[in-house]
Amino acid sequence: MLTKYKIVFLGDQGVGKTSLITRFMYDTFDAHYAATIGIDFLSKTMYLDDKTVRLQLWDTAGQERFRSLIPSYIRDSNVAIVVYDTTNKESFQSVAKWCEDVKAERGANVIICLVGNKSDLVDKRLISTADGENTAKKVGAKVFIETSTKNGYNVKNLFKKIAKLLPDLNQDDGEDANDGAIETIDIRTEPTENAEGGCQC
Amino acid sequence: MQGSVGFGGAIASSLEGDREGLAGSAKPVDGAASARVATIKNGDVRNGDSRDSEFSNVNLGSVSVVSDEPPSGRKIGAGHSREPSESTYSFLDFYTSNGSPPREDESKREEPVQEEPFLVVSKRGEEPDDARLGSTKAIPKRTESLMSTRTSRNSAERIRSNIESDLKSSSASHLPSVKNTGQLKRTSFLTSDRDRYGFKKTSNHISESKYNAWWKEYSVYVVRRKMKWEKFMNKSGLSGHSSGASFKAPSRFPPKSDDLKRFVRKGIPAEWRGNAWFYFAKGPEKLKENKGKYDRLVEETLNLVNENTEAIEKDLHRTFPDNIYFTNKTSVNQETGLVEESESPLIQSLRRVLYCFSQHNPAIGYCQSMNFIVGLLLIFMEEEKAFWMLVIITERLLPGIHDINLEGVSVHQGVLLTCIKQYLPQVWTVINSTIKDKQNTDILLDLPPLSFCTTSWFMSIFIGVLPIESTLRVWDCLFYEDTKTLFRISLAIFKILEPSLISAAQTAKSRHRHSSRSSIYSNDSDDADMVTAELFQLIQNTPKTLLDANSLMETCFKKYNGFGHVSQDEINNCKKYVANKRQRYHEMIQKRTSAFGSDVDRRALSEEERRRLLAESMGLYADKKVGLRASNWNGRLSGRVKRIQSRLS
Repeated sequence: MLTKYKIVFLGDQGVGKTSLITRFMYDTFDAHYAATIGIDFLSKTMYLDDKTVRLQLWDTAGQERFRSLIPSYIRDSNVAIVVYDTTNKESFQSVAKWCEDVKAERGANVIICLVGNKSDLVDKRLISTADGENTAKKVGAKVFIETSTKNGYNVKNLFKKIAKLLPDLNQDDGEDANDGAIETIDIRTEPTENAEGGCQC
Repeated sequence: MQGSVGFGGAIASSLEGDREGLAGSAKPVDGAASARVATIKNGDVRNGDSRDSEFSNVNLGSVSVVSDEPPSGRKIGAGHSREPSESTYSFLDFYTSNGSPPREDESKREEPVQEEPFLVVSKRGEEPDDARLGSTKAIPKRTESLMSTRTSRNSAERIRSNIESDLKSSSASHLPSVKNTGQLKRTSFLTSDRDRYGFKKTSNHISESKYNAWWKEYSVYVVRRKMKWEKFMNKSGLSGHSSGASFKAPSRFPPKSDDLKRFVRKGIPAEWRGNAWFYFAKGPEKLKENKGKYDRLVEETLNLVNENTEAIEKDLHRTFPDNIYFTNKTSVNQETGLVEESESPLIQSLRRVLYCFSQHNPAIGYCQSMNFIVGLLLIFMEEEKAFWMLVIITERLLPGIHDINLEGVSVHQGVLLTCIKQYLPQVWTVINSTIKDKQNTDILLDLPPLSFCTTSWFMSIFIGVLPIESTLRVWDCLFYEDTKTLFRISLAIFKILEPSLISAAQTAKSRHRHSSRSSIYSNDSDDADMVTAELFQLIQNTPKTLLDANSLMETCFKKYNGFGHVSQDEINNCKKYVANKRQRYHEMIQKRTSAFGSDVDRRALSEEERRRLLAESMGLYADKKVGLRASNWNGRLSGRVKRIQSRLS
């Protein structure tokens, strides 16, 4: 049985959340991705040295007004990746707000990662690495990294770092719960809770 | 790198084509300078690994130059002989028979019919320079003069008319030749990577072979429907002239009737859509009331910079990156050798419409997803009409959906859940199993996470949710039949999803139970999470595969187990009910937070307070007997609505 982890991507409009996910998932890049409306979901299995994990990636819309929709998604996520655009000051200033949202829902029970994207745009850079690092400390991010989804820089690293930090959710029953082929298969397979339905009447 | 030509060439020739009845007019290719010839190698198109080359290959509708051959060299059209290894075509070829021979269909291939060449060449100097604007200007910074705005409005309009003439030549206007070369025409489309609207045919969810298999059938249907529409219009005395290619897109349509409704549900001819949508949505009235308003707004917003415009700028190129009309062109400047990018005229139109709207309705300003709505409108109608359509959509059809707090989205989700509970009880059971704290959750107030999956169904009116042809069909019905359409279609999609949702929920749960039997942490809440992710993926991805608009409509409107009976009244009343309930709830929270200080929000309330609040809210506005708890809420919506109605009257 794979351990599943929920990772939510937050950050202003157009900072590259979808792009980051696409680079990670398919190792491809397009100059433009259609704007994300609401929330998109993808999942990927990651094979690590000592474990295999299933990552559930939740991509969100960046525009301010969508923030009212997002909280319930943050509520039970293990990791929040807050993305900003190194060439855009506002997106960097919003980092604090996004982190507050996360903490309001999860308190300290979440790994916050701060990602400065578009590092390839050297000429347009407005946020220095040092600034990024400082903010990361301030908001209590466990990971800070600068990426370029355009040339793939540091994207794998980001997820490797995250994977290392993931809590071991299965610690209670240890390895022997894995797949347990000897265990009896639960035949009480859901009468799908018709009890509370009764909707047909 | 392919040398490319601006829209100019394409526009010039297409305009000329319009005047001359397009496909028929053969003109001597005298001015080779302005004659742009499409010479596209098969491989180029398919392998287009950079978007640049893809774009320049498929020049907008008619023509482009490839620099690896002398421009004066090859022409498409009459008597043009093809080397077997190479196919030469343009967008128009998808409809006229001069296109490349279908690869997939060699057996049925007929000899290319000697038709008159469609390639129409504008005489040099006949077209004003502005038509070439796109190719010569770098991306305009936001300081546009009124003059250049007008020019770009023109060029966008021309592109649109170009698209329309493409679409037109795709169907009944070429009937006589369809009989002869129909097979060839329809299948010639199969060799392109674009559909007739300029979108990429394939996606992560639709393979090329799947698309082509569908299109082979569907294109026949499209031609047949167009013929029937023309007959129908004639019968209604609204066409005047329907002879051959000169059947113009009608600007008026017959009064509403069951017949017309049937016709609309079977699809409005693509090239009439702009007019039909505008007409059915009562656009002409709106336009008449507001003469000159749009032009004034354009002037006002020329150099506007604010939060909205900044958000708009970020989304312009993220609207339809997979559509050639919404992709900028890059070209190499012959003199400087530098790569220049020219902004697509439709993107410029998109900018103006969105700027104007944000000015016109500051309460909404700009909301992501409006870019998709306007973008799709612009493929079918000129920008002033698109603007008024957006006004109509946001005011009348989807009120509140794009508001600053997106409350309308939640209301619509609540209505959809209500409908699902009422009409698809099994789907409801599945959704209900994802709700964690059933006893204390009022689904209309705390929407289940799955609801966020359907956010874009309403916000962008199925754009990007369904494949384009299906989306357009939904739009046909929406503008003719009003917003009940959105709920009917949503229900139809959930009906299609029903079996997979049920089995996914079961396997997810049993797998989970099995693996964590011994775990003390295994509980309802874990179950719910597990199921949510699986279901979310299904709800998100399955609609993207619903390529065949006809079968979607069939599911929606079939007599038994269809959703054609869901009435607008029912939807309106339910919307009112949900909106009212949510508003009262918010008011209560506000009262509470003002007592505890502004920082306290609903989520910060203690469990006890939450529970009390919920109980209060029940007492306040739920029909007590019905008690809208997720766990025991009986979904006899129609009955409830009837009661409310009778109470009102």
